[in-house]
Amino acid sequence: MIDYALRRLLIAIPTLFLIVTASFFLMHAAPGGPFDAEANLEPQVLKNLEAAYALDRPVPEQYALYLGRIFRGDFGPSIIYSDRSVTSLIATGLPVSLQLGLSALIIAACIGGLLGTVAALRQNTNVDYAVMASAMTGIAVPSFVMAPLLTLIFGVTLKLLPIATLEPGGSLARAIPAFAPLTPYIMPVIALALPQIAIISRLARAATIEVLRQNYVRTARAKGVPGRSVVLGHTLPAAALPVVSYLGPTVANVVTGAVVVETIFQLPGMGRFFVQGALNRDYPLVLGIVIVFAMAVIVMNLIVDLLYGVLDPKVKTGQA
Amino acid sequence: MRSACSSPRAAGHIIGKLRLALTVAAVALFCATADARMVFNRASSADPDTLDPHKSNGNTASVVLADLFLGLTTADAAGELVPGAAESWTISPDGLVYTFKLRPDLSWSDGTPLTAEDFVYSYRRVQQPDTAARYAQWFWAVKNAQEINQGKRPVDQLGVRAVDDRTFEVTLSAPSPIFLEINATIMGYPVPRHVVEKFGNEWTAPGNHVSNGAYVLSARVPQTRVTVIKNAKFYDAANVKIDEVNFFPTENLGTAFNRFRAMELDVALNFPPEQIDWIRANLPKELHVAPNLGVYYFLINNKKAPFTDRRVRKALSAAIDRESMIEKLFDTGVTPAYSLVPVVVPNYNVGAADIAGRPQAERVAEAKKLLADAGYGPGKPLKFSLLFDTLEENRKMAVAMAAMWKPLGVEVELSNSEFRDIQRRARTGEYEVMRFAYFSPFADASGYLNLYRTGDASNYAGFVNTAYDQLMTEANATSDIAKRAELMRQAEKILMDDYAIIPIYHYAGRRLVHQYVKGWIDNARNQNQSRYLTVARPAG
Repeated sequence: MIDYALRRLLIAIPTLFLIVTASFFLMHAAPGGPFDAEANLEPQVLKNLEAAYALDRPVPEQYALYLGRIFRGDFGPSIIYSDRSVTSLIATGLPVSLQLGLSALIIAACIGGLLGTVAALRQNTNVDYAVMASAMTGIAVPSFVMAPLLTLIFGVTLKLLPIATLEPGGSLARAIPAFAPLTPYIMPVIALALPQIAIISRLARAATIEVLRQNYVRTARAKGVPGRSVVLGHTLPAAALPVVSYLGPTVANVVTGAVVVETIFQLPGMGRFFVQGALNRDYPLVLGIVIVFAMAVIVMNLIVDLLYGVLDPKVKTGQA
Repeated sequence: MRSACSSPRAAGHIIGKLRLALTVAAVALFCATADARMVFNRASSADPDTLDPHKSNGNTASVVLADLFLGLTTADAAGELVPGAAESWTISPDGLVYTFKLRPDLSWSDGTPLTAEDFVYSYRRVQQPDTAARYAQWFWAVKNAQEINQGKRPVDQLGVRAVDDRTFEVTLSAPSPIFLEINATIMGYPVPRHVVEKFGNEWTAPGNHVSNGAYVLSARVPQTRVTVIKNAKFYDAANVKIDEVNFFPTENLGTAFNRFRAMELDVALNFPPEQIDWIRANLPKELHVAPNLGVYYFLINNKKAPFTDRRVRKALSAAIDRESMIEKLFDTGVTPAYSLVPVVVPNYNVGAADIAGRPQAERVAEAKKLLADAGYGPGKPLKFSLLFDTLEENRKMAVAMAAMWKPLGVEVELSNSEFRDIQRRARTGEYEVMRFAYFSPFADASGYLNLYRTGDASNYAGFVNTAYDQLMTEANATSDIAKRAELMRQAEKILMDDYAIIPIYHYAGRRLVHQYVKGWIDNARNQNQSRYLTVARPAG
């Protein structure tokens, strides 16, 4: 298994290289440069600015310079935030996104998995219909509707929670000071988790129903294994597979930037840096985040594949 | 959502319990506020790009920088130009030599004395090519500045010198009536040489940052807040009431609006335009609408047929019913424009286009005739593409304009692109008619009119007129305010009556200011430095 993991990580190097190359040239091919949005820039000033970021050199030379830099582990200076390095921006954005994304996904996986399993076990009853109807609503209501709604109810009207940024606030924080540091996360995590709960509960339900029809489950039941053990011991591990394979890339996605939620709650996560970097043609910032994102996807996919081996005896990673 | 039926009751229960806790907390807070620090939570439009004034593009950082730094001149509470780090100055009779007398005992926030040498260093730093200062050209009136910025001369040849510790002398290559004005901008702020040279690019980090304004940097959390605290070394510290200012980025207007309502923000810089009616009804005293230095207009490519024909340009401008369009679509305090320079610009009377004030029906009739004279009519409609950047407001505007041109038999193809691409196409002339906006960095008519001189890098319309150029050259060298204003008015009149551009409206700043913020005066510069304000937030 360690062999397999190492081999996969080695293959990741050329993959990363290709991603960086493609992103680099795509970014430079997009119309307009980092300073084009500034009205009335003197040509001489523009020249000085471009020289400061080596943007006056031919694109292939810039590419070579960039590669040389990332091999030294330096993502370069950000162009929009001129007094900060991309590394420092990622260092501040990644922990926020990680905290936000992981808590939302853990909550979503627990609640969604539970709801889906219950719905599957009570298939075609009112419980099932209720769970699936709310799941449909959860998928249909996008976070840019849910987030402002939460803000309006809990922030503006009830004044329970702070509305934006990571500063504790609201009457809840004042009433229970120990709880204060958590208050800024409550609404963003809910807004981020709700649609995921919906998707995961649907996946879990379908997978559980599928597994419940398998011969080995029927055999277990025929042998007189108690219902609880059938569900926990035989059904759940197999039913978890589709959920796990969904969670892998989703973790990478959510963790590297819940753009909408970060924007509405004004959280300093990676998603906002990414979008602003792209809009402002901040080449080093966007490329830095692309690299982090690509690494997250690669690592998460590897973890999912390794988990497959644990959950499903039919998958043997060693022989892959 | 899943517990929709129980949540209101649960929330009610929680509130019931909280009410008691809140009362206790409020009493505690009230007792604590007796000696509490005065904290002001204000909005900056987005996270500041940098806290190095010379490297900033000014869009997002200037509100923070205005609290951190003090130029030779500055703005007072009402936005009027007043002495800053200089207590007085003299100007030589030919208008070429400015001698500034610095205030006594000025110092940086770390206690290092601030002398005329600091201004020499800062002036030079702005022109040094590798600083890549965004607006180095504002100071190109200083002797040798432009050539230094182009790398053609060494920086020590700049026309500045420290006569003694408190006397700073600047020599200009030509008189510049706006010279005092630009000293109040971010390019005029001094930076601490001893810190910049010690830390390099890192000098703006909290802990390293040193400034000379009413406040010093205390914390900077990217995308979250910039916190500044009162600078005890500031020359007028005795009159600075607010101890701590938090600047919160508010790109999302909806969020900013909600934060304002929840009193997380004491001042919001803008709000979602669709909320204006609700705000007028519910927060009339908090709403501050005041004209500012922005103008929304359409560029016409004067170099491209058929727009080389003045009749075509005039017809397009005359047919637009600005008043009713603004009333129906953009009722947020903006005013119809018939001039490039906003009416609010001081020491100036605008040179409005000759269609101003005439009845709309008459203007449409004239527009039809002009187009017919130019050879366009039912058999041969005028066709062109109208370019705008992707924003709902601009789309509405473009659709309305196309509708108003339709009765003239004009066929418009609407085309939109990203802001950055639009800007590039303005520069390269790849457009026919396009939407544009301009905010002058200083409250002076030349800030607008200089852009339309022949060959100016920002003359995106391609307007060429020798009489205009002569008037502007003369105005730029005239220090007599009234005479200069008249020269510029005549120039603007030429620009407007040639219909080289189509002004639509002059912007208005839309602020929300809680009533407990005292000392807030709306002004065209949109500058309200925290040092002039006080905050008496109600407890709880």
